[in-house]
Amino acid sequence: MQGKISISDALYPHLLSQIPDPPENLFFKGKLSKEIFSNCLAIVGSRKMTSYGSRVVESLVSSLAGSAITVVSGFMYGVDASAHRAALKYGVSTIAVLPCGVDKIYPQMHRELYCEIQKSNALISEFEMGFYPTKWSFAKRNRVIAGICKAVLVIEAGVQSGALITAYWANKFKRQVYAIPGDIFSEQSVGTNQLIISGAKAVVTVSELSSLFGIKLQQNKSKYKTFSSGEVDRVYKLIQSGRVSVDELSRSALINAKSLVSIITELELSGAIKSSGGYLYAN
Amino acid sequence: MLTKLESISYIGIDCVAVDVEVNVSNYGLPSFDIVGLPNKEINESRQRVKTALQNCGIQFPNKKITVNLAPADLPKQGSFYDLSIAAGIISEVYKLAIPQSAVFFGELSLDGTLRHTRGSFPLALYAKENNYKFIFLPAACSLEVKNVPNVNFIFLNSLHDFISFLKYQKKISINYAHSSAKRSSTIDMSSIAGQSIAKRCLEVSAAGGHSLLMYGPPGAGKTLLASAYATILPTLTESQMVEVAKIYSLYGDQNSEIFSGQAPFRNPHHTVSFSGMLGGGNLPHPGEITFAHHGVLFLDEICEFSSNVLNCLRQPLESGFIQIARNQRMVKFPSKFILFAATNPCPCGYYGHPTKKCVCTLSQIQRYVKRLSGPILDRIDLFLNVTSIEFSELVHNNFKAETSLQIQKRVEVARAVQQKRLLAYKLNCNSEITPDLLKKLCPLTQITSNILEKAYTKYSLSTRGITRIIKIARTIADLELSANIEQSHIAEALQYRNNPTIVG
Repeated sequence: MQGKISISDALYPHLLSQIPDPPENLFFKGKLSKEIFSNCLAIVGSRKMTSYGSRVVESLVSSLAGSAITVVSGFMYGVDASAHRAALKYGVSTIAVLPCGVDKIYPQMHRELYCEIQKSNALISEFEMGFYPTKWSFAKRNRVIAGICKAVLVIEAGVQSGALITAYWANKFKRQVYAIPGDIFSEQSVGTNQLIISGAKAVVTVSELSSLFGIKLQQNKSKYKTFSSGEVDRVYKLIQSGRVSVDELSRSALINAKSLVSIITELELSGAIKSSGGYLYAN
Repeated sequence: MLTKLESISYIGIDCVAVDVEVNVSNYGLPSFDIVGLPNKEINESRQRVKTALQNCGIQFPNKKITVNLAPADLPKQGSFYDLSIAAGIISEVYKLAIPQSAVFFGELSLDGTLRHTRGSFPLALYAKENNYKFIFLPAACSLEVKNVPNVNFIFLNSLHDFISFLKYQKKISINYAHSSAKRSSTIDMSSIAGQSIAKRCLEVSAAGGHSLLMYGPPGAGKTLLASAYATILPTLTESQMVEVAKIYSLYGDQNSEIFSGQAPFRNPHHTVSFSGMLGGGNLPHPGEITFAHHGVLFLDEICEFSSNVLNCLRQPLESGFIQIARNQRMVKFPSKFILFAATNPCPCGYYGHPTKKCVCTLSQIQRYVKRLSGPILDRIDLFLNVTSIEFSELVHNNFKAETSLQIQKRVEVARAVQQKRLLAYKLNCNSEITPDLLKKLCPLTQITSNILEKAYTKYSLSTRGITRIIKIARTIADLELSANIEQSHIAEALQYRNNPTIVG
């Protein structure tokens, strides 16, 4: 389904109509309802997400499952797309705010995501159908994201990330800005750490969002698993203590390469750990 | 008077018979002509032969000399007709008969000595097949042909040797220089710190002939691992060596490593052209994939190669040969090789690096990675993420690293096991197992198929991915001399799958 809602319609998001220059019309594709706009949380961040960012998104959004919160993001690659994907995966409502007409798929590589979202969620835009994305429309789009949300959560942001523009608008519209604290040496956490210094609330678990939305949220606890074999257990404990490369692990666990890799597969298949970019993480 | 001699010509790496007819006539003006589609170097042969004969003190007949290379419609190339032409003239001058069933091959120097000439190995095989009684060739080629048994080689240092053979049946003795089977300038596995997983992965690759892609930041040790990879490859079997030696004798550098059974390791630069990679030319010349036959084609920085050149590898990877059709002829070159590639994850190299900053935009990264097309990725068995090692690992390495020789021994044992199993199917290693043979050759137990099923859903593998995992597991089992594929073998094989978040 596609169509247009104007500022006078009942469906028009109430919060958005309060900002200084709300868009006259919102074009949409997918399914819109009053509820989907009532508890919006923007999850935005860098296009060049690191594995840290992807873990944070996955863990936070999975904890939102079953709540009435809608994840709003900008459909860009990186944090945006993975927020949408995680929302779809855990049955959380999601809205994609596009910097172009809603009939345009931008970026093209997200065609599949586009189709998924329009099945039971919505893509919206203040731009007319057929409008191509331009430099300024991204910044303007961020204004809408901040406008319809109660809070903006920045997962990862570099020095010049567009997510910081969203945070700027959120601040202006008196929305709560949250940021995920990150590694002080990581390029993709410079922006978020800076946000925290200048007053954004740091989020470590999803429960920090509870009071704002008036919903009790609880972080999915990572369950400590035990394994039958002592060796497997030892490897698991080492991975739990922080990011580690397979090579480092082989050295610190004093296990030869070939046995270690089959232990890693066993842990992966049991869902206890995850590997990304040559490094291992505990779930 | 007409003298008929026999020589050969090459089509690709195969020999065909060529008759060299030398006619010295008393009638007509003195001249020296070669007919029968000779190319430039054969035409120049006239100057070499004439001068060489004169410098050897042989009176060059001041008569009308006509040389015909038959069949006349086959274009010929190569400098090796010198000896047959000179022999024809010598036989005329000294009135000495040329022995029956003899084949001549060799390039002359102006002083009458015979130079090393390309292609002696395929010639020797050809002569053996066709039961020639005498094979005249330069002594400089002796090392190349020494592994061809039961052939009566008549090695010649110069035209004087030839004359003394005709007169007194005197053969010169050849002292085969001792050739060591050691590869020159390589890095031993034991000299690489850390990278235990990478080394293990290379071992599996070498054992089963599995293609491999390494990716990781610059300086992580990809190229170093590649040069060490050459040292753990199994020695070529007799029949493999014959195929490889044919190619190298005819087109390659005089590489004694190849003739002593070392698997070829080719490392073309990423600016290589179509014909450089696949072979080509008016009279087709083999490319890198043929030089890598029964060995390794290492493509460092594979994403920098032209994607057209890379896509051309698809067909030879599948079929094991390349057919080159040109105006003058069609030639088939063998090209069964292990594809071994290395790449950075992005143009700057640091995408996904835990501490270093990547300066590429996401679209740049995607464009870079996309140069490896799906079909090429589909033909790669092992994926290896090489991470840079920590300083502490460089300094406090507790593990005693294995030497290349130790690893190579295991690899060779595993190869032997495979060759025994696959003999009936005319296959050489596990990577060549076709899907229809998979069930028969790599049966799974209930436990192993359970773990595979779990992985299938967890990692969302494709059916081709599953086939790959089973073949790799078979190789791992062979390395341990285990008759069955066990759970741990599957588990290890699963770690070498393509992790789609990084590549593809």
